[in-house]
Amino acid sequence: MIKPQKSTRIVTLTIDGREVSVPGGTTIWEAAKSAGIEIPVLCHDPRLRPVGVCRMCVVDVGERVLAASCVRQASEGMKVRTSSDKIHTCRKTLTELLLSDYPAESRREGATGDDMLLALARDYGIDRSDIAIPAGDGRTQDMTSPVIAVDHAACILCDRCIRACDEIQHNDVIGRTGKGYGTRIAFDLNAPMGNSTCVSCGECAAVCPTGALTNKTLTVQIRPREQLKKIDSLCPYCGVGCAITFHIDPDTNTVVFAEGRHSPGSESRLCVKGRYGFDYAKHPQRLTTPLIRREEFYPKGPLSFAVKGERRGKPGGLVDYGEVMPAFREATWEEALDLVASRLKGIKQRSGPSALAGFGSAKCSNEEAYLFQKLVRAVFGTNNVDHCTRLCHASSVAALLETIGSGAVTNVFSDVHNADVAVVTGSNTTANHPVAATFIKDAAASGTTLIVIDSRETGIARHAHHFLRIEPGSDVALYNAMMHVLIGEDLVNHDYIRDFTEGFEALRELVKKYPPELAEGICGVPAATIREVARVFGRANAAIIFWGMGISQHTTGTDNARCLISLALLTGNIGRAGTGLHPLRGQNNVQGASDAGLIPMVYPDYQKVGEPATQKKFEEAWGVPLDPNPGLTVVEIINGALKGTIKGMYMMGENPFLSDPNSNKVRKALANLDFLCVQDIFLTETAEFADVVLPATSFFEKDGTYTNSDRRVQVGRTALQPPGQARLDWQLVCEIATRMGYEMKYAGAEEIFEEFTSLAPSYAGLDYHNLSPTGKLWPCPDPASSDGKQLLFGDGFPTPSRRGKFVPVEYQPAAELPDDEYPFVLNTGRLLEHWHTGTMTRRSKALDAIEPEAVCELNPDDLEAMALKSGDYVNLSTRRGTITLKVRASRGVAPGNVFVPFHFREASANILTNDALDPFGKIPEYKYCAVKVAPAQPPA
Amino acid sequence: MCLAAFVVGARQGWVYVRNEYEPERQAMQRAIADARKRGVLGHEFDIEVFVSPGGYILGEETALLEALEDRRGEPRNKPPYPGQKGLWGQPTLINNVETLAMVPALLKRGADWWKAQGIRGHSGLKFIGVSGHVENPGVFEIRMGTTVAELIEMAGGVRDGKRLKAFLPGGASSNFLPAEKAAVEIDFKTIAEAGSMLGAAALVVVAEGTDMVETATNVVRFFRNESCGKCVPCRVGTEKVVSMLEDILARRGDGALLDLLPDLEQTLAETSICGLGQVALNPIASALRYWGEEMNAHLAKQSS
Ligand code: SF4
Ligand code: SF4
Ligand code: SF4
Ligand code: FES
Repeated sequence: MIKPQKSTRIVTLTIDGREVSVPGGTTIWEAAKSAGIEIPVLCHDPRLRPVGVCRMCVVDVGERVLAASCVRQASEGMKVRTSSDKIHTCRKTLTELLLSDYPAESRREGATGDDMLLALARDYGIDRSDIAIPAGDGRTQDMTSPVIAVDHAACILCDRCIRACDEIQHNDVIGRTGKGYGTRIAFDLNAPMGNSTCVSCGECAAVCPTGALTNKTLTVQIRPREQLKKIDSLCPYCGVGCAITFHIDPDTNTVVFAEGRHSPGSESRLCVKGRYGFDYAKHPQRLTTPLIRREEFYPKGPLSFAVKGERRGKPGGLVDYGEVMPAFREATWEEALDLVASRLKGIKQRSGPSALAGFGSAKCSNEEAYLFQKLVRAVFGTNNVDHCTRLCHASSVAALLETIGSGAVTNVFSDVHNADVAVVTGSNTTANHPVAATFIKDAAASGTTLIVIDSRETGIARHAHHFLRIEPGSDVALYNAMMHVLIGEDLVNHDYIRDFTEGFEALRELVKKYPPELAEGICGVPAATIREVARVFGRANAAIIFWGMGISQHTTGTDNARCLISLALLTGNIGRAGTGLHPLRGQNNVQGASDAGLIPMVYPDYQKVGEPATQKKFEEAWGVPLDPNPGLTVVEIINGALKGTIKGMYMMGENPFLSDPNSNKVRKALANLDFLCVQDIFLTETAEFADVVLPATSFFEKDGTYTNSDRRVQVGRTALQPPGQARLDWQLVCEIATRMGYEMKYAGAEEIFEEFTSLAPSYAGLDYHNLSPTGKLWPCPDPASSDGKQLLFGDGFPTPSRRGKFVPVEYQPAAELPDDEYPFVLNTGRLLEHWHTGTMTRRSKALDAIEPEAVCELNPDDLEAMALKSGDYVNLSTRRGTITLKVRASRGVAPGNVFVPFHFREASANILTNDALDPFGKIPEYKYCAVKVAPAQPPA
Repeated sequence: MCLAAFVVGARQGWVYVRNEYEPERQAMQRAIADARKRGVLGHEFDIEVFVSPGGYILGEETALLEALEDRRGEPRNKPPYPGQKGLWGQPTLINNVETLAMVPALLKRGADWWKAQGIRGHSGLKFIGVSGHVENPGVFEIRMGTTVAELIEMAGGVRDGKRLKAFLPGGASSNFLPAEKAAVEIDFKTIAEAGSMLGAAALVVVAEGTDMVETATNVVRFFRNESCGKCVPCRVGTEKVVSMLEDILARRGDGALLDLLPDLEQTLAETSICGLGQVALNPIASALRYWGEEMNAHLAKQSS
């Protein structure tokens, strides 16, 4: 958003006889507001650049005509009158003019009840039936969007939606079409909203003052806010961690609608998932009773067709409970918990602690993550505890810990607006971190040079000044060549290298071998472009680097991240405003779950397992001896299950059947476990292999803290009551621990947080009180007066030498390259509307309506060569399996590549993926394997 | 224009020509090519011809700037004025071609000469477009101070030998004046004193026998059609007044307009963003001022 510049100059003016002093550049409207004088507005919203089109805010400044106070700047000595007969007549007449065309029923008044035009009519005592101005011809409605209703008849052309879409969200969908009285808002080139490039972020409906753009009801009928309960909480989806207010109907225990809430990290913005994806919590398939597997369903195996790997029936998102539920019987909590505790204990006694393992989840709160790892470490007696972070940023974290001694971001994403240059690489930001993307797009529109590097031309690439399409898996070659240029042309920061780094010589020697011409042959980016972009980066006073799974999910993931870190160290781009390293975190609590210790080699706050002092600290805190050996990671645990060395598992909120690579192997591994307890809110694909299923609570049903990608620790609050007998996750962990002979008892999430922060120095000082309402960035040495540390490592790194280390790396190709039999390269990822294994989003009405079935994307030229078109079915096969799904033509996908989102159980991308691991981060190569494409028949 | 650029230190100028004026554009382009050849343009200063995408509103200086910047031709809120923040946010001098064209002559011959061009105590020359019910419509260069009656004679007199009924001295947006005021001397101040304005310097002549309600409706309709639609008063106000007037002319209206008009007129004049909306109701308001009985006659014929 373009913000008007305020100066340090002070101007003094008189408003309604009162003297008011404001900074130069302040508008009359703002000045009046600061003096407590309200001037009515329709087109103005403080979040938006003023445009002055409705004229409702006119005031008298003693000129020939009245002035619109929302756009008019205050000037020295100005005398303003905000009310007079003339002003009153004008405002009232404007209101009547608009009302004359206004529909009898405003969709806003009938829902949230805050139609601003009707409120003005009331203020002016206008009775609509008295208006003598004739009504115009009715205008059309457009109901094509699954989430937003458009009623052109109620549109007053205030432009708010246009500015919200263009300048807050930078989606550039809405404009005006036509002229004069025939003017209308239009989506794209006047397409129906549902067919337009609209991404359903809902920002337009959030700012519309009238009944023209309103949210459709998704659960119970939308009602005025005062009639509902307001819960200030967070979005349950991604690592951006947007602040949300949920409006709850207590009678039906339902979220009625969601609104963006102010927070430094999200500035009231939301994306489609946060704004419209809340109804999964009320889905009829929620688990409400503990379940125990029936005798007849042993030996264990998959239950549903999709999980068996059979292709039957119609494609569709949800598991048919009719297929899976007969395998389970309902049980009491006593019976189920006793069974879990006794079976796990039995395995521990028979086969030793290391035969047990636990998967926590980055969807759980810090408290749940902390308690879960405590359970595994202190009660199971092993460090075999991991979670899905392993699958997203383990390599990034490995590289960060190795080089700069800390896995967290060094700067927040919104600081991109202070950067001269921003690099976004391997990140489909507009889909996966949509609100973070708004800050990047905003910066790109207001002076920051945006460099996007990706093998796919995704949404963020449209905003790039330089878009580099690289060959999949060739990152190291490109970055080495960029560093070759930076060093060769002396665009490095010598002072910084001298004062804050080590290992520069080795890097210099290595990258000498990577002239841009050589890299061009590997990564496909012309040498001249590599040079140009390296110079742009090298000359920037402040440059920030964002990356996503396109960097990390490779067998060279750690190497890729090392290169990015070297780039930043080389140019001194860490620790100052507008600089930094920001691996964009996927899940809402990836950062927190890692901070809380859901990692096999570290205790909470990255304190190393195996260091005697640390071990002692935790042994004292938890009162039991601890295993000095680091545990196994996600894929290693699955391999262990396959081999039989891992026998018992407890999974809290993870769904490895769909999320882990090479599902056919995962299927065997899960079936091979002696005992599996799955704690979740739905009967997931993984739960089909469970002995016991524990019904847990969704995000909406509990208190807890979550740490976003920025390191912002925020509180999520209980909005709904859990369904049936479902219980709080942390209570279930306590129950199992206690039943296994280790007493765990807490009064609530707050007490767990206290224990966690007492053991995690980075979180020291934080508590539920000082975290409200918008959270704090860790570390936060002075929570009473500060928001926490935004910039890290301006004065050195938490490494033994206090220096950042260059780790030079050679280019290595991906583990499985295309060949004659499997000629395409497979890349996996996500769609804007869906979340991971789809458990939540496919049970969300709006999100499911937008993307209802499995698709893959191919370049239209490749499709043409195979005589295929969008909507046809294809078989995708790798050495590990085959899936059948619809194909969609996309120019964003380069020829020779296939993109498959991994959300869809009926065509799970991970049947195809390769479970080859990065040697350091132990992250699988989700982003690269060889695949073949063949036309297929639509399912019967 | 080069002189203007010299004075303000501009490096680039644009001549903005409506797309209907193709011969004028060609002439301008030839003149620019010639000036470049002779080294007048292209070094310190250059001129580009911009062909307007069309629309009356683009004559409004800030709408013109918006069009130059490739956006919808809609006026900006002022201040800031173009002299403070104009094209691409830079200070911009905007003048009519007529003004710029007068400058060399003025400089060459001096202020006294310029003053001497006027008559009856007025100074200078002025181009006036004459249209409506005259024998020879066209653009006339007159001495300031010439009366409207004289100018009508220069254009061959009222068409078909009819008597003058009314005239708009300054184009569609000025107030109608009745024939009795035809002795008014043409200059900005004098016409304003007579209750109208010289405005766009386009004299519209109305002969006797013309229905003033219909004529005024036609002018308001023009503004309705040319409204850009950016601000509420102009976008909605012009349409509503036109529809009420059309209803009256079609004998299905009522007298509501007469009650509403004062507030509407004030609201449009006071709150519209640009001149178009501010003056859009002048024609009907001034027509009613002088020929109110014609409106009453129409109202008497309503069927409802
Ligand atoms: S749809 Fe709403 S926000 Fe958009 S211009 Fe119309 S009234 Fe304003
Ligand atoms: S929902 Fe978002 S993307 Fe769609 S039109 Fe509205 S603001 Fe633009
Ligand atoms: S950007 Fe992420 S946190 Fe924000 S609303 Fe969307 S999914 Fe939720
Ligand atoms: S609020 Fe100022 S013009 Fe609309």
